[in-house]
Amino acid sequence: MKIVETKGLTKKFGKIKALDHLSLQIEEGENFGLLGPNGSGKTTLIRILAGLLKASSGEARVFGKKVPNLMILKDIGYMTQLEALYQDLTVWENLNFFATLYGLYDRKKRELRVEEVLKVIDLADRKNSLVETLSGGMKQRVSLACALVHGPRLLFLDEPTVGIDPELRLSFWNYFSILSKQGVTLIISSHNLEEAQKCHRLGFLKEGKLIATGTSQELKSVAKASTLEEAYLNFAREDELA
Amino acid sequence: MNWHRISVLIFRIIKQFVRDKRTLALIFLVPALVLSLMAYVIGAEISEVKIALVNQDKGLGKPQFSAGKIVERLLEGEDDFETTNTSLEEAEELLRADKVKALVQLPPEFSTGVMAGKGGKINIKLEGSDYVYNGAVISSFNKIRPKIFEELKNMLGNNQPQGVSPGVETEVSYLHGGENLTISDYFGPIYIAFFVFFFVFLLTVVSFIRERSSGTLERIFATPLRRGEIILGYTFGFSLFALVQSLIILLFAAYVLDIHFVGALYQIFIVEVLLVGVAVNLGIFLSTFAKSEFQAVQFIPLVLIPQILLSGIFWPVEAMPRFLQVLSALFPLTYANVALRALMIKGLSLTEIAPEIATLFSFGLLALFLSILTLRREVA
Repeated sequence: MKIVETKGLTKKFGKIKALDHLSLQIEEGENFGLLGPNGSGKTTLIRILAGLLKASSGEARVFGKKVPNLMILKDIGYMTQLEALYQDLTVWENLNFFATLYGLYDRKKRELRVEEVLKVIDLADRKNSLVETLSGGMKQRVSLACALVHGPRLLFLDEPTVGIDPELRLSFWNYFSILSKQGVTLIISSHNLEEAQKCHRLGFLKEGKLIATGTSQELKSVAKASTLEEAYLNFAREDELA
Repeated sequence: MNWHRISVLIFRIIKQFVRDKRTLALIFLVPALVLSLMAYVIGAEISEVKIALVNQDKGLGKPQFSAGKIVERLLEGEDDFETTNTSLEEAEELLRADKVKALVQLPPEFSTGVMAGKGGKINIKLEGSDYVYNGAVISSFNKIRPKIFEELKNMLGNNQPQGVSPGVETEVSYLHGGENLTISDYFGPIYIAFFVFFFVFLLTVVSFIRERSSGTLERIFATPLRRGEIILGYTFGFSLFALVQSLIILLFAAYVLDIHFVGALYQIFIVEVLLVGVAVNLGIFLSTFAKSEFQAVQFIPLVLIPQILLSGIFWPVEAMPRFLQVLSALFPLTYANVALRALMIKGLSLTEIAPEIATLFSFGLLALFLSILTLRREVA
């Protein structure tokens, strides 16, 4: 089953086209990387798929259902670019809050799940600390935990590794591959082309258009490039000529 | 100290202010606006206070002499009063309905009293729930008292019994409250309405600005939570604090400041919950127009100060110029004040203030509609 499917998806903000007839298909269990510079439409695409924004034209389906759709939200996790945490609550309180909003109403189950997620992000020992007292990297981990505390089948991660140190970045990609193995579909946006090689499949975005998709090997060989960066530039040049 | 460094700082501040047109407008226009409102409100005169006159004076002697008629004529000729002649029952009714601010009764033996030199007794019964009117009626009455005295003396002229001068006594009573009610008693209900509104409104604005700017609102929108649930959650959450707050105000007022009030606590709370609903939703709505906590402060002179001035806290709404009355009718605090005064000073019940309750409820619905409009999932 296609977890995500868009056809001719277009989003205009005034005169600016943030998305331009974008058609994309993502399979269940895939780890898909959305690549492109700032302003290429990555966040807009994710926000439409997460039900936060309405498309101007075209359609988008998630789990086979047209978005926005309130019913599918409980199966989706969304980690925004901002930390988006309550600074004056503890780590545990933040997780508990979002877990409940996502429908984990049973207290015992919820608490078990929160503890479980805390172990995944390796912050079990700081669960009673106020978020404002944590370091930037820790906050980023809590933010990730809030996005997956309800055990979503589809996870949107908007630039999850921006501004974090190399060590933490590595552990983030480790979390992602663990989630992939568990069957979670991940859509990760990034403008760091090197780390994105770890995704199963990549999509290159430029000015709201999807200019290429494929595995990193495929993209490099089609573009006759030795690195992904070079491949992106070649595709971008081709797009401008077309 | 380096002048270059200081001046670059000054220029930066000037540039930032010039670019922030709204703050600029606020700094220069709002003080003038607030000042003129204040001048209109406080400068407004209490004129033409409606009173009901009950003249029961039977008169005296032949040819008939009636001191009551003289008082009646003087009262009708007085600019400060708009006098209605009526029966005692009807006058009491008018007073209860707040259609007149005072009832002036001249008893059957008025003329007799005047002639006997014991003093004719004038009974003044004040509506009593607004200290501004209490004061106005009494001071206007004091103004015409010498005239009454003078006229009576002329009238009596030759008939005057030897060694006796005509006298008039006034006895003041109150429908609501009483002379024990101090100015702070009148302000009691309003303190509560105002503080509840002020804090809940500002808290909501600031909380929502935070929710928006930190991205938590975006995250909430990505969950299955519905807009109505967000609003209800916020309303109940803040209501709880508002109720505790007003409970403290009430207890403090009653036991520490010795402010009097009648009326049931739960009825006061019902009015407050409505007011909190209005404040929360208005806060959510207006928070979209402020980018930072700093800009939220700008709502104080724009939203709160006009309400303080025009909702009848300092000056009765009926005594304001027409256009200000129209403005004050647009403010939820006006209705909350009327409702709380009715409950706490007049001791009325909720059913008797149904119109105010209904209006507050409508304000709530309007604010809810506006806040739902701004609470789209399409948040930037």
